[in-house]
Order: sequence, then C-alpha cells, then structure tokens
Amino acid sequence: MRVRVDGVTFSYNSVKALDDVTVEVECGKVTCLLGPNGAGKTTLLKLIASYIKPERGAVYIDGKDLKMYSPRELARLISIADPHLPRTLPMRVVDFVLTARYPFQGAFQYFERDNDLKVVEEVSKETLISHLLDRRLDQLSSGELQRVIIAAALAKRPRILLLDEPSAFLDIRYRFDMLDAIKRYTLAQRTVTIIALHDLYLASLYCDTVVLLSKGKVVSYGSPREVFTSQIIEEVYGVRVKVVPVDGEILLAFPLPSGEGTTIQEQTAS
Amino acid sequence: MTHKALTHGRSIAVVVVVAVVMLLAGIAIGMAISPGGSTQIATTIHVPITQVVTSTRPAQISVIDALGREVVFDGVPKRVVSLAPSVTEILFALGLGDRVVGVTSFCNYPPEVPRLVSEGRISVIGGFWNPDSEKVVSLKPDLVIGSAGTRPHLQLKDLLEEAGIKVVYVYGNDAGSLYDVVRDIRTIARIFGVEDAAEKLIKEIEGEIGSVTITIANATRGSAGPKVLFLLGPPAFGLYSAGGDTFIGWIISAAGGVNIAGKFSGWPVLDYEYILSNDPDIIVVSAMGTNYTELVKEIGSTPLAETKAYREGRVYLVDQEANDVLMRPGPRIASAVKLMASIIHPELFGEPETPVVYRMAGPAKP
Amino acid sequence: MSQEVISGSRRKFLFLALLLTVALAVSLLFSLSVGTSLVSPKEVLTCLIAFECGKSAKLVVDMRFVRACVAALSGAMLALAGTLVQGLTRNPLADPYIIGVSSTSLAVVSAAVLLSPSVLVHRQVLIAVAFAGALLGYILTTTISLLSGGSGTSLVLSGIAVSALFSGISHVLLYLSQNRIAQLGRNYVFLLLGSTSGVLRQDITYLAISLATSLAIIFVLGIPKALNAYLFGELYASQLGYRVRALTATTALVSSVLTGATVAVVGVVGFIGLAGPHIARISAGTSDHRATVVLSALTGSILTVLADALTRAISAISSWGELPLGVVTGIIGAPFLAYLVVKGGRG
Repeated sequence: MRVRVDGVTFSYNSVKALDDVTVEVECGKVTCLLGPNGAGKTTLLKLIASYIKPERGAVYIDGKDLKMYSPRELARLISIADPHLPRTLPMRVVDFVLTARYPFQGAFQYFERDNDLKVVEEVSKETLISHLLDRRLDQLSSGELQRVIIAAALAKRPRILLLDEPSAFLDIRYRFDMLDAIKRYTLAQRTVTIIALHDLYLASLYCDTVVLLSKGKVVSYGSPREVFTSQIIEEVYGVRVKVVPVDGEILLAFPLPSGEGTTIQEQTAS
Repeated sequence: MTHKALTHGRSIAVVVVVAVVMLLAGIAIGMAISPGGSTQIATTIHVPITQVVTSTRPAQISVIDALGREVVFDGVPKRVVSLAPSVTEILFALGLGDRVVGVTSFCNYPPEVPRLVSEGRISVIGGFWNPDSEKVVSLKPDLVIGSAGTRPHLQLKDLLEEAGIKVVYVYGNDAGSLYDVVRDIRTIARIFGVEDAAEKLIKEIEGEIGSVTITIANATRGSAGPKVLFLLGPPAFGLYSAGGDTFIGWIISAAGGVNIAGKFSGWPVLDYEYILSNDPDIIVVSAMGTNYTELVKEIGSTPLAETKAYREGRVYLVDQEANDVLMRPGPRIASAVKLMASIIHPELFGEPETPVVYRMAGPAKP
Repeated sequence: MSQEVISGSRRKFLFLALLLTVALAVSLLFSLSVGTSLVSPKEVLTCLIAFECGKSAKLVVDMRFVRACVAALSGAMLALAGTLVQGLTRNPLADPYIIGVSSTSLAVVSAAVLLSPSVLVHRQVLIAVAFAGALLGYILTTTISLLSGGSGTSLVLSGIAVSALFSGISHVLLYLSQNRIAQLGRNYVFLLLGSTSGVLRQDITYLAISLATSLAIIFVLGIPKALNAYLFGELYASQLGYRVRALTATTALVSSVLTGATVAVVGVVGFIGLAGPHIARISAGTSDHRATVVLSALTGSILTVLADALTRAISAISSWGELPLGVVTGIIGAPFLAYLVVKGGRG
C-alpha cells in the first residue's frame, strides 16, 4: 500500500491552505506532519481521507486516484481521527467503537455480527479499554477518551491510518504509551500511518519520516535528523532553537525564548 | 491571527453600538409620537347631528360596569368608540349614533354604520379580536366601550386610562342571557342619560321574546324541547359549541330547544362520541361564508350523519345577517330568539325569515 | 467482554420493546373504555372482547377506536421525528417543530382560508393544505441549510428563521382573514391547536401511509446507523462512508413528513417529540438510534393514547369540554420525565 499526494492545492474561501503539495508515503512506517498552526496539516489529512477535494492535483492510493474509489471502499481503507468527540447525547464506549465496523456490514444489516464483536474485543485489548466498554463516553477522563478514539480508528483494521494530534490532551506518560502502540501497530499491520503532531520531540522519537509544512507548502521532507536543523525550524516556527542529539539518534530541539529577563542555562548533553 | 481577532472584535463592537443606537432611536421616536397627552394629532371628523337626543342627566353620574368597576362621568360623552358590534348596535338603537366616532370592521348594523364609515364620518379601529390601540386613542374619544369577556379589550384598559380616556366594559360576549344584555343596554343608557329610550327598547325586546316563549309553552305544555347542537363553524374547523352559560345557549333554551352542550361552560370543544350519544334532533351550524351544499355534504361524511337531525334533514346553516343576529348579544336578541324558534319549531313560527338560513334539502338519502 | 455487553444490551432492548408493546395494548384497551357518552366500560369491553355489541356500544367503540388509533399513530410519529431531529442536531433538547414545519403549515392554511373560506369546509382539503404547508417549511429550511453547508446546526438555525418568519406571516394572514371568517365566538389563533376530537376514520389512513413510508425510508437507508455515526461529527460520519449532506436532507425530509402529517391531522401537539426520545434514551441507557427509534415511537404512542383518553375523561366529568391535546400530554408526561431525569442524573 502506498499513498501519493501529487501537486495538491486547496483553499478555504480564497485562503490557500495547501499550495502544490507533493508527498509520498509508504506503508509500515510512521510519517509525521509537522508545522505551526495553520500550516495545513489537518487540511492535508482531510484531503487524503477524501473528506475534501483538491482544487488542483490528486491523491493516489496504490496508483489509483481517490475519485475512483467508492465511499464504501474508502471507508474500509481509511481511518481518520481527531481528539475531539461530540458527547451531547449519551453513548457508551462499546456503541461508539462498534460504529467503526459499519462499513463492513451489509446494506440492510441492522445489528452487528460476531466477527464485528471479535474485532472490537481485540482492539479493546490493544488499546487497554476493555474495562471501559460499558461506560458512557461522557464519564471518561480525557486520557481514556483518547484511547477510545484510537480504538475506534483501529477497529476498522484500516490500511491507512490518519491521526490528528492523537496525544493532544494526554499526560506525558500516556503520550509515549499512545505513540508506542501506534508505532507497534503500524509495524505489525504494515499500515500507512500519517500523524499530525505539534511536538518536535515526540516526532523525533517516533516518526520514520517527517513532512514539515509551513503556510501550505512543504518546506522539508525526510528523516527527523535531516529535517530538524535549527535553521529550518527557526524559519518555520519563528523561534530560536538549539538542537541537541541524545544517544546518537534522538534529537532534542529546545525552543529558546528571545528577549531579556530570562536566564538560559545551556547544557550540552553528552 | 491576533490581527484578525482585533478587527473581528472591532466589527462586532460597531454592530453592537449601531444596534443600541437604533434601539434608543426607535424608543425615542416611539415616545415622541405616542400620545402622552401633549402631542396633538389633527383629526377631521365631522359628526352630523342626525338625531337630536335630549339628555336628562344630572351633572355627575357613576356607573358600575360588567367588571364591577365604578366609572364616574362629569359630562355626557360626545365621542364614543365601540369595540364590539353588539355595542355599536346598542348605541345606534338608543339614538346615540351621532356620538360614535370609532367602530370595528365587523360593525355592519344598522345600515347607516357602513355608510358613515365609507363617508369617513366614523373610523374603523380594527377587528373585534385586535382593536388598534393607537387608532382608538388617535380619535380622541371620551369614552371607549369594550366587551368584558374579550381579553384583547381588557388589555387596552391601562393604556386608555393613562391616556385619560374613560373605558367601560359591558358583558358583551360574556353575556349569559337576556338579563345581561338588558343590563348592558341600561348601563350604556345611564351614561348618556337616555334611560327612557332604553326602557322603551327593553320593553319591546322583552315583549317580542315573551310572545315567543308563551307560544312555545302553550304548544309544548312543559315537555322538553328538541335537542339542538350548535356549531360555531364547519366541523373541519373544530367541533366548537356554545355552553349553557353563553347567550347562544340561552337563546336556544328561550326558543324551546335543549342545548346538548348545556353542561359545558363557555365555548367548549365537543367530540363525536358525545354528540352521537346525545343524538341531537336539530343541528345549527355557523357557515362562515362557505359553500352551503358542500358544507352539508361534508357534514354527511362525518359521524354527524348518524344523528337524527341529519337523517331527518334538519340541518340548518346560518350565515350573514342570520349569523350576525345569533352571534351578537345586542338589541337584536329578540330577532335571534325568533330565528332560533323558527328553526326549532317551524310548526309554530313558520320557516326562518332572516337571511341566510340554509336548510339541508330534505332528509338524508339512505 | 464486549460480547456480554452487547448481548446484554440487545436483551434489554428486546425486553423494553416487548414491555412497551404490551403497555401500548393495555393503554389502547383503557382508552377504548373511557369517553363522554354514557355507555359503561363493561359494555364496551364485552363488545371488544366477546364481539357482543349493543348498537350504542358499537357506535361508541367505533368513535373511540378512531381517536385512539390516531393518537397512537401521531404519538409514534412525533416521537420518531423527535428522535431523528435530536440525532441530526446532536441536541437532546430539539423537538420536531424546530425545522419550521408548523409555522409554515399555519401560514399556508391561513392564506388558503383568506383566498377561499371554503377551504374550511372539507376536512380532507384542510389536511392536504396543511400538509403542503408543512412540506413548504421543509423545502425552505433545507434549502437555506444546504446553502450554508448542510450541517445539523445550520438546519436548526434555518428552521428557527423560517419559523419566525412564517409565524409572523400567519398572524398577518389570520388577521386579514378575520373579515372572511366573521367568527366572533373564538379568537382565530386556535386554528391548528392540537386535538383528536374532530378526527375521522380516513385520518388513520393518512397517518398510517405517512408512517409506513417514513419507516420504509428509515430502515432501507439505514438511517439509525447513519445517525449513530453522525453523532460523532461530520468528519467521523464521512469517513465511515456516509454522504453527510444527503443524510441531513433525507433525515430532515422524513422528520418533516412525519411531523407535517401529524400537524395536518391533529394540529400542533407539544412535548411528545421531546419526551419520547428522552424517555427512550434514559431507559435504554444509550443513544443508539437502532434502539431509540423503536422505543421512542412506542413511548410516544403510549403517552399520546393516554393523553387522548384523559382528555375525554376530563370532558366527561368537567364543564370544560375537550382540552388541547398538547396541554394534556404535558400533564401526563412531564412528571414521568422528571422522575427519569432525577433517577438518571444520579448515575
């Protein structure tokens, strides 16, 4: 499975959100989209999910244009998830996760079948939400809710997994757990996984490929080591950074505040 | 992003300020043109003196209206607004037509009224259910007479009193019998000092009604009369009837009938089960200007077709003048009783004469 | 674990559905034995069960049967419409009149009466005109909504705008039509006030056809599942393969047909469209539309049948005549709903 975004342009009300963006994503790898707010990360994810259509250019899955797939095929292939979930009407966790199985159910099928339940069972174990299944969504903590959202995304057994800030509301420890699980899943199932992230550090830990976006354009593209140079980061984020390699592979990029009134203690890690 | 928030915030502030300014301006303008007693609005209504009525009234009198309010009059009112057709009829029947400056769009009797309206000598102040308070006040009347049973009339009370206009409420639609109508006539007569004319009128009315009731009593010798169902409109409008404490309920009894909705109060909604189990002998429907043959056909397609009244062809539709006469608790109440008596006891009074009373063409075809 | 949870839910749903169906049957039976005539309940029940009917008993049972059926059908339809609208707007406080159909219905009826008072003569004509008015409301609301994206929120806002506009228009029209309807007995604004008192046998057919059509659309298009997905956002529903604009327009259409038909036949009856879905959700413990669609229809049915019976009982023992149905539905349903809310709130 391979996803190719080819020269794609998209505008919201004459504001260009994506400008001639070309990206190739392979399966079995975690690809991260980085960039400041408004860079176009979410727009790009929505485009790949076929939620919005490009004005110019196209998206190809295994060489076939998205337009040629039926909504049902795409529904089975692609999962897109963001950390917000409307909870105005009471629903239970299991009801929510089971909705992810709808694309696999017959046109007139009213209730779920055994294999749907089996998949949900597996996914719940993978995301550690088995004990939460009969709780109501509005009774969950934000960490639990995030795991549930991911569970629903995975319940499709998608070939393409698109996640928008999956660790947004999580404590530090859970962020690692979450991205660990996603990475393991990606490697095991060989999905195409694209994650939009804010945190440069997490990106350097988990992402095989990084796509750095700024104002709708691809500014840099490659491994974290290649992309995370102080120069590029400063250009894109508008902030001075010090990039520090740790243990040879991992990079820590420290944003440095400007102006007086701060004492910066620089530490050179070994 | 912050720049956008600022301009966005600024445009919201502008909108709010403009809205508040417009609101204040509207209020200011409204206060300026609403009569607070000081603003003069020119009226050019000439009321010709068609009938000079001598007033034999003491300088100051007080009347108690249907709401129990005491209203004191220092002089005799010269400019009267009527909020109800029955009130208009009473005023003209007492010879006070020259004092009337405002009537409702329904006021069509006596025939001089529409003529005076079209000549511009009397203004129309709105409908019965929605009199235009500004129009009323702009006519600068010294008396407004409304119906106690009509909420939109009651709502005008405070406004009129603030504008310094006296308002008196008669029973009007709340009238439960001839007695209330008579009281209304006497109340109005007392205000204008024309009690003699009132007593003459009342005697006439009572006389006419009396002769009807005596004829019926003699003929039926105290046995219960035919059962009557009265509907305020076509069945599709809703099965609205007149309760026992309404003037229509009274008219039915005075005319020798038994109102099957008599156990209800006011203007109840009935249902077919109730009507059928009471099996009326006569059905009277207010036709409201609809097609008569079609209305009878429609009645035949409802459970009303199972009633004795329908089977024997005693379904009557009242419209136009006949409808007005029945529905107005005013000086024509005697005509109303006669009309209803003709419907209920055609053997005693002949067929109804007032137009329009449409009778179903013969008994129902099986 | 999920297997147990799901089969537990399914059993609960089937149990509730069965319970409510039985309750509906009991309510209907009760409703048939209550009324304003003097026929005793014993005579009525003998007629129903043993088919030994005196002439008056048969007449009375016929009348009551028609009213009870209309009440059951319109209650189901309003509750169903309420469920759909609440899912569409993701708002548990939405009622089916929110899409503006009752105001347009009243406006069109007023306009028709103004043009030709004879519209008031034939009930069938009045019903047809009122229904057409309701559909007009759907068309306007959905058009405005689709122009602004077609989401549930825009639907509500458009509905409010259409309602407000046509409320004003109908008042003006009714005022003008006063001169045609020289009606001094009652104020004109009571047109379309909810009542089952004037219903005729063919009204059952109109309602049944509307309900059957709507149910067919709902189940064939899989709207319950679609609404489940839609509950979690437009993006979420879209990535499950649903076309969001088509979904909102179709669901709004079904809801309008259901609501419009009841408005045309019995007038505006409040509370059922709000409480039916609520009660269904609370008792089922979930907003899964596959369950709530069925349960709310049954609940709405029961509430309305009981309200209709109560209306007749009140008319029989008091001097008020028939009260508007919407008033009585509130009296019956509100305490029950309050109880459920209090009980549920502690969970």
